[in-house]
This record gives sequence, structure tokens and C-alpha cells, in this order.
Amino acid sequence: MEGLGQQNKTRVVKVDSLESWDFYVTQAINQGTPIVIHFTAAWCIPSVAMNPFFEELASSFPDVLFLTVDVDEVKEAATKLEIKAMPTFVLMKNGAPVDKLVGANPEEIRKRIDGFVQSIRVHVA
Amino acid sequence: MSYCPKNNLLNLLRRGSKFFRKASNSAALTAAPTSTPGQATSSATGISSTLAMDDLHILKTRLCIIGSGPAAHTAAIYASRAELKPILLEGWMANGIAPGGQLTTTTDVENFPGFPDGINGIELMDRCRKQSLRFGTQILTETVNKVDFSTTPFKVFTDSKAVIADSIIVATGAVAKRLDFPGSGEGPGGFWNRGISACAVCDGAAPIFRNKPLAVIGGGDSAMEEATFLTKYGSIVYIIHRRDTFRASKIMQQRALTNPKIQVLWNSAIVGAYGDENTNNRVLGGLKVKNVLSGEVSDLKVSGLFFAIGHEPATKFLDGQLELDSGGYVVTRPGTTLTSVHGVFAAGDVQDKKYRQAVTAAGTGCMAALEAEHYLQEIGLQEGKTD
Repeated sequence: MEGLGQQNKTRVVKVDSLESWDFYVTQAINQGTPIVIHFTAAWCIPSVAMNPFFEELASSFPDVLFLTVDVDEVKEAATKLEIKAMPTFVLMKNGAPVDKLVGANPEEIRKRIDGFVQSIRVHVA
Repeated sequence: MSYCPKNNLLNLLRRGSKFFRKASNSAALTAAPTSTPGQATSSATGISSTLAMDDLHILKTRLCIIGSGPAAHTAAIYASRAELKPILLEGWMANGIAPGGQLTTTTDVENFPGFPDGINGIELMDRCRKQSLRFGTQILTETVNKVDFSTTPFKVFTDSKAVIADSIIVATGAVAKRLDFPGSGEGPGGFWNRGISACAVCDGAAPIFRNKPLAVIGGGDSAMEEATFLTKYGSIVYIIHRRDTFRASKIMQQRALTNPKIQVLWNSAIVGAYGDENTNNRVLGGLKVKNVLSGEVSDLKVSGLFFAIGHEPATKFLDGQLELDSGGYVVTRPGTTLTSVHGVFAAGDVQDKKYRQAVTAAGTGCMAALEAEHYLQEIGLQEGKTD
């Protein structure tokens, strides 16, 4: 039985420029959408290896904006958020980072996003 | 935990780290597995649910294959076609290498038969994996951390699973040792696969090395052999060695030392690699070599550097349950894949320090599957088949 994988349309948005970055972050602030960003590099195996899992997370959390940013393509975004290693996952709300996770750890990032989403729901309620 | 520091080198000898499998261009990878109803499998997509369980999830099979390279997948293809319903544990960045094995660290494979235009290493392994899945192999993306071959059925453990198997094929491969210095890694500023390699036989014929000065680092038979081999392609081959004598056998030393195209830099170590200005630093241009006695650092202009400092077979996880040779390789009866334990077979680089090629690994993978099938028939578990 073949899985879903890449046959489904991706929910992850690839940010390939500073303009694009500003656009999505601003839009998320305006709409009150929480963001999860995957800072990656094409040459970093652990980071690239997280891509399918990131896609899966994006499908599991439809109310969250999932962005992927290559640190060599959008250096300014990486510098702004002080990214020192890939992959780094940043959870943002209202334009401010609320959590950062370095390293390819699927279990942990899912936990963090779960917690992140729960805490937001509580506030909204 | 795994990650890449932003500006420099990777530590290439990470051990036992748990990463996710490298995504690749083939949809087959995420179209993963082969779950039989009622069995939670740890696939690229399903891992989170199984990790939440406290108890080990137990799976039973007639054949468990540990590994993910050409040996493991060839064994899986043969075994699954023989209706053995094998479970293959491909590892989760086991030994610091993505599933698919050493071929995932190279780019083009030009010498695997059947590919006149060459094939990308990762793509070749994708295809092998797809083929294994096609015939019903159940692939789990988990790293084996412990085995128990003391009784039958054998047991193989990962963080979240216990596989109970009537027969085992160990195909965990080996890793070429690499050195770590500025410029030795991947990514910007690193020249791995852009002039730096760990296999002269694999990469020596590449155009970037043709008629250029090359360097080999090492002092054993491999280094002598690789240096001699490279004189076919390079204009001059430097052997860089940290001591003032080689440990290679006399005959190999002589062959290298009397070769007019080989020059030895004794008592030397590499402290850095830099780019070639003519190609905008995209490929290796030279090395910074330090004399370990005087401390003096000099420039050595080379277009290629080959590590020949040995290989390390992935056998630590066996914890002594299979007989190993002095280098850590699994001992197999010559001409077979039989190990010191009846019912456990070894294929690929984990038991081969001589040839170490993808196609020889595939060959022994096939042998292992056939020997396992024979063994299973012997112990009466194989359903009646006409031969």
C-alpha cells in the first residue's frame, strides 16, 4: 500500500526571498496565524531529511502557517532570527519567536507544535 | 540529535545519532511502507505514533535484514520474491549516513553496470528501495541498537521495536574514515565531493582530476594502492603521511615509492583545504600542509585529495555476538555469507574489506538471501515450494 507522500499538494510554503518572507510574516500577524518555520540548507542532510516530516506536520495543523527557508537563499531572515545551525525550527506568534528547536528530532518538534497550538487555543478561548 | 553548524564542517564520524531519512527526488520514499493492517510500522510518515508507546512493539518475521545499501536491498528483493516476507531495518541516520548507505554520500556512479550514462548515488538507492518494496519487503526506518543471537529465534531491537526473526542478514556496511579540518566537509567552504573523496577507485577517473596534481592521505596498503591507481589520471600524486614510515606491506610500499609520479610528504598533516580561484573556489585548489616536526605550514596545490586512512565497519551494535576480524569486519566463510552463528548471514561491506564496491555488495546480498532461504527450508519453516 503506497502512502500519501508527495502525491498530495504541499501545505508548506517555500520562502525564497526577503520580500516573500516579509509578506508572509506580515500576513500572519494580520490574520493572527501562528507560524512554524523550518530553516534549512540544501547541503545539510539532517535538515533536508526533515522535509517530508515537515510536510506531514503541515497537514496535521491546518490552522498554522508552515514556512521553509533556505538560509543561503534568504540570509537576512536567518540572521534576523539568529540561526546558527540547520535545521532550526522557529515557532512564531504575532511576529515574535516564542520557541526555537535546533536539530532533526521529529518527535520533539511535533510535541512543541502541539504545545504551541494548545497554548494559543487557550488564549483565544 | 543532528544538525549542521551554519558556517563550517560536519563532524563526519557521528555515531548512533538519530536523524530522519534524507528526502530525495523520488516519490517512492515517502510512499513508504508496507504496513500490514494491525501493525504500526515506523515509516517516514508514521514514526510519531509508534514513538509514543512505552513498550516495545513486537514484530515477527522469517528473515530480518539490517542495513539499507545495495547488499541489504538486493537481499530484500530476492527474499521477498521468495515469499520470505522480510523486514528490513534501514536505520534512522545510523552511523551518520542516510538510509541507502555510502552511495548516498557520492554523486555520480559511473561504474555500476547497466547505467551507461551513469546514475546519481541517491537515485540508485531510491530505485533499490522501490524494488524491495515492490515485492513486499516491510521497511522500517529505525536504527538497530541491540541484537540477541544467543538463542533462536533471534531478536533485533530498536528504540521502539523488537523484531523476532528466524534468520538474519547483517548488511550494515562500513564507513570510509575521513579527517576533519577546515574545508573538508560539505556545504559552502567545504570541498567534499568537490575535490575531496574517500575512494580513488570510485572517483579517480573524474574530469576534475585529469592531469592535475592529486594527493592521498594515509600510510597503509590502501593508501599505496590508491596513490598508484591515481597516477593513471593525475599529473603527480603526493602521499601525505603523518609519520616517517609507512605501515603498508613492503611490496606495496616499494610499488609506490618507485613510481616516478608519486612523491611522499613525510611527517605531514593537512590543516586546511581551499578553493581554486580559477573556478571561483567551487572546486578544491590546494591544501595547507603542516610539517608535524617543524610546525611549518606550506601550500600544496592539488585538485584532488583522497582519504585512504581506513574503513570502519558498522559492527559495534553486535556487541561481540558475531565473530569479527581484527579490523572489526564480520568473519564469513570464504565464498559464502555464513557467519559464526548458524542462521545469521553477512553481506556487503560489513564483511568485505577487499572489494568494497556497490556491485560486489549487491552480489553478496543475493548470496545471503539464497543462503537464508536454504537455511529456513532446513529448519522447516519455509512453506513447500517447488524448486
